[in-house]
Amino acid sequence: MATPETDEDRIRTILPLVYDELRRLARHYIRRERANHTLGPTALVHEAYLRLAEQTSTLWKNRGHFYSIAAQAMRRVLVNHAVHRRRIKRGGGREAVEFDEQQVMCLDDSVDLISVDEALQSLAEVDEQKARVVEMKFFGSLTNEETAEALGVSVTTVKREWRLARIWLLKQLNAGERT
Amino acid sequence: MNRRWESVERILEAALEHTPEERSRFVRTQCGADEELRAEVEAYLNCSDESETFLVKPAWQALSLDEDMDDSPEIDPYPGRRVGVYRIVRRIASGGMGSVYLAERDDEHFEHRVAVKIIRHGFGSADILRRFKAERQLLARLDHTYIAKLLDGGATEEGVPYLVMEFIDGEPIDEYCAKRNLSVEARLKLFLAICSAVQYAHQNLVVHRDLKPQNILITNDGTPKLLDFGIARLLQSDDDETATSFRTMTLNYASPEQIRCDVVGTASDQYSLGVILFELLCGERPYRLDGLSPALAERSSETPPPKPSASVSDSFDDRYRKWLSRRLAGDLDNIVLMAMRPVAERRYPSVERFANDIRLHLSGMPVTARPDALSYRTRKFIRRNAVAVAAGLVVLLSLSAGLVSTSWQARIAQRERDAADIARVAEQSQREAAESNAHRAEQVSRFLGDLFEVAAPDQSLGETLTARQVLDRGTARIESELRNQPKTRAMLMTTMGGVYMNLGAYEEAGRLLQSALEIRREECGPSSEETAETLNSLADLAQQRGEYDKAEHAYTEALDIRRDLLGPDSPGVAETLNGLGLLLERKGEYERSEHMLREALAMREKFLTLNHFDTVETMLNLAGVCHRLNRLDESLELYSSALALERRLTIDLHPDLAVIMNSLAALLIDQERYDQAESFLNESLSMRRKLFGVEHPRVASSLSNLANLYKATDRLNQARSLYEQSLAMRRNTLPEHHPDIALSLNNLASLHYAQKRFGQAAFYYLDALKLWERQLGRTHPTVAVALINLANVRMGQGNPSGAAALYRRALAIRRESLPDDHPATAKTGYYLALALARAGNASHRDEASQLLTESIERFTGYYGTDHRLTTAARKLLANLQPETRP
Repeated sequence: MATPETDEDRIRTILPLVYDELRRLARHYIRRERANHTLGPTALVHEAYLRLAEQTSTLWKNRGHFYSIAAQAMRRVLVNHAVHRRRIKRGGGREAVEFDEQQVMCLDDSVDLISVDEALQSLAEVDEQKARVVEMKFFGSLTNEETAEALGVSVTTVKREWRLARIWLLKQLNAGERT
Repeated sequence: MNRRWESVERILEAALEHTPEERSRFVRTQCGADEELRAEVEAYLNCSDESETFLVKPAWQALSLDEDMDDSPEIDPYPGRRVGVYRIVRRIASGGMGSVYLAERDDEHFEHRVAVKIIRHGFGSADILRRFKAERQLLARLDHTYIAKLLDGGATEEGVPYLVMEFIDGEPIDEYCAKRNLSVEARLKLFLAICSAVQYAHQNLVVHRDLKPQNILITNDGTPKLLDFGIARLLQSDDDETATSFRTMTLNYASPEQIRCDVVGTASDQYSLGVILFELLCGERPYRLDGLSPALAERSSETPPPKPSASVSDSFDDRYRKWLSRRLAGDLDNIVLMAMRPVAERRYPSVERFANDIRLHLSGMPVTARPDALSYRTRKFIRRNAVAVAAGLVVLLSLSAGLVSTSWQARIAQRERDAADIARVAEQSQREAAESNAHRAEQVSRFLGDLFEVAAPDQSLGETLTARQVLDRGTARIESELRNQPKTRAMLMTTMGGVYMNLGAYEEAGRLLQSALEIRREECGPSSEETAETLNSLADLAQQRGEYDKAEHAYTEALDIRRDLLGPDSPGVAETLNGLGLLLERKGEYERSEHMLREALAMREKFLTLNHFDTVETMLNLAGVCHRLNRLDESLELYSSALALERRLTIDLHPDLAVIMNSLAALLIDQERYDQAESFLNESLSMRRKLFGVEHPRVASSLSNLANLYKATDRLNQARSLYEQSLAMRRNTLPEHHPDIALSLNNLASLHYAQKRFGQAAFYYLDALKLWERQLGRTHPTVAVALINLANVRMGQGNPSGAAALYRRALAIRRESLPDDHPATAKTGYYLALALARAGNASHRDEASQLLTESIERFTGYYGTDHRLTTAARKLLANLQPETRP
């Protein structure tokens, strides 16, 4: 495999791997839910990252760099997936009048990944560091420590940014319009 | 960092350190006179509580709970991967069949570039591989300088089939010619080279089937290379239905026989070459078939094309246009049009001969091509309309024969059961017995009407005009020759009205039925069975036209008359009850509808037995209502019985069979039994095309259901194209404000919504909503669906307040029209709560939490505690609960 030059190349290179890891995560998670498995979601993600890092060790300058790229790749896969999944399952009636009830699908936690993704793009224009914290913690499932390492800031800063970023995003989503 | 946000953030962060009670005062002192700043900080503070629980679960968990993650088309997994001995470098193109990649041989000793075509998922990989093995020898044998070689093929680790071809670095022939401004002669010579390659393949028994400029590349040194020889055949499945073969061909260059899905031979390639030459010469295509329905495409491609000399592109300057037009007139017009003749047998006998004519022209010799003499349309009409023409003659004959011609007795005997029914009714009343002759005459004409119903072809095709003229002449004769027999006249007018109705000629049907009604009221009395019969037909007509109030009025009047005359229990009463029941279903009054239909079914079973079309009809209507009422199993049972009965009663090709299969499929879609649904839909569609022609409201209905299925199974682009066809067809064949047009608008909108084109979705939803409101009234259940759909778009557009207003109206309608425990009502309530919560207006919090409490109860009862909807509603409620906000 040729060595990618830019982060964009790197993201593209690991996308298929991230995708596979996410599938694995999803399967494990569901099984865990059903079987009351002991391995928590954090451990699952950790394992996934370990595998990912091993497979792609030549790509990274350091661990922080890896986290940053991986989080971006996760975001892309997840958002693409959400877009793709927004589909319609059923109609009603003889000549089915279509009624899309699937919009609730991505709102499982009252969270719509696509809207969050869009709002996050706006946040990046206003305050890039906050946007990256959200990307890593929410989309990348990274811990505060890992996020801090990737961004080269203190854990306290991550916590502070995380709190404010979520307030910013929520207001943005509630207003439903650009400020 | 943004300046403004920086100052907001500073105050916000400090304010968060204070207790909620102190915050307001703190912010006010910090902001001083800057009201705007204060308001902004307050707005952020308002979100702080909620933000505590926001995004705490990582994104992948929210998704993983939905469903398994299947393939996501957004990510191209191939670049960088190995396929066989090749390594994929990058994607070159994407098309209907799949994507083409540039690839390199994976050993680094020598550079060898190839094109790898990865066949799109869903093409039936096993089939393709089998066929590939079978035809590989044949294709590999094609060894011609101008044909790109097929090198290899196989399947990836996941079983996705791929083909490896010689990589050609060139540009499509049309672009090549245009960029270099090639002369007419140079274009013809290049074209001749292509003909030689096609001819070579034909001699080796390979037909291309998908010739188009994109498949004819010209390399830098001017060498043409034809791509994809024989690939279209490889990708066609064995039991190819119309819909599936469409995706592998390019309509603009397809021959009429290809569009019709007839047997395709070398003449089809010749036709495509003709279209290409047409375009190369005058810069325009003869037709624009992209985006047309198969039906319209078929029609357009069967019309002889214009002359190239009359089609010279506007993009040239005036002088050149005139010159080019003169240059093409005569020989070249004749040559191109000969290759493009709609009937394959009338084209050149071979591509070789086609090429020869071009050579003759280039050397100034007379060519063999002549303008087409025989009018294709005339022959076509006779072939297609044999049945309709015959039926038309039958009407004429019977009319001139004085109606109760003895020659019809034998035919009547074929319908013994009907006659027996009539006899039974006749016994019931003296008056009817006295007029049994009239009944017999009625039987004759009704029989004719039935015949016509089956033969009724697509009324919008030009050729049907003549069939229609036959009918018109018959009508004229009723009016002129039966002037002195008003009763007979009215009877025939009623029958003919029914025939016009079946043809979709609503205006004429209405005129006849209305006159018949007036005559019968006058001659037979306002409360006679005759009057009731015509009223019933008028009601049927009004219902078909979507004029529901008018229909209900007429049915009710007919019902009153019949109950008075025939008693509460009789075939006549059953007929009207059946019509009324169907109407009420359309109007959304499902419970009343069910009641009427059950009554009608009981009567029909009693008088007509189960083995009768009318009984089956009522059974079907009842199945439809059960479907609406969400009693799916009951509905399925009724549909299945109806289908079994109908199959016993009719020939294999009958409109009623198509209706049943269409409806049954809609139900199966709701039950997510997609494979079964798809096979019923395809059968129903092909039956309807045969029965009604290519463009007819019922064909539109089948297309629409098929599109629903495609959508449900994620074939969104195919779904969109069918929805568009269905909409266009309905607009062409139905009255302007027909509710079914709204149905098409709605479905199309939902597709745009699914693909996140909110603007377009809102546009079509709004049109549908307006139309439904106009035709069905503002409180019809369907209007609720339209409101919810539009509201969903508003949510998607980030306008929860707008959405809430729409959900609220929908909820009011659902509470009125649906049973209390219907899940749809609870869902609507949940959506409203969601919108209110999103809008973030504290004054609506009580309303939202009450709605959620109700929804949770209903969801739990209907779906169980762990269902996605139940948990989602519960969580939303939990987020609303804390009453900490000021």
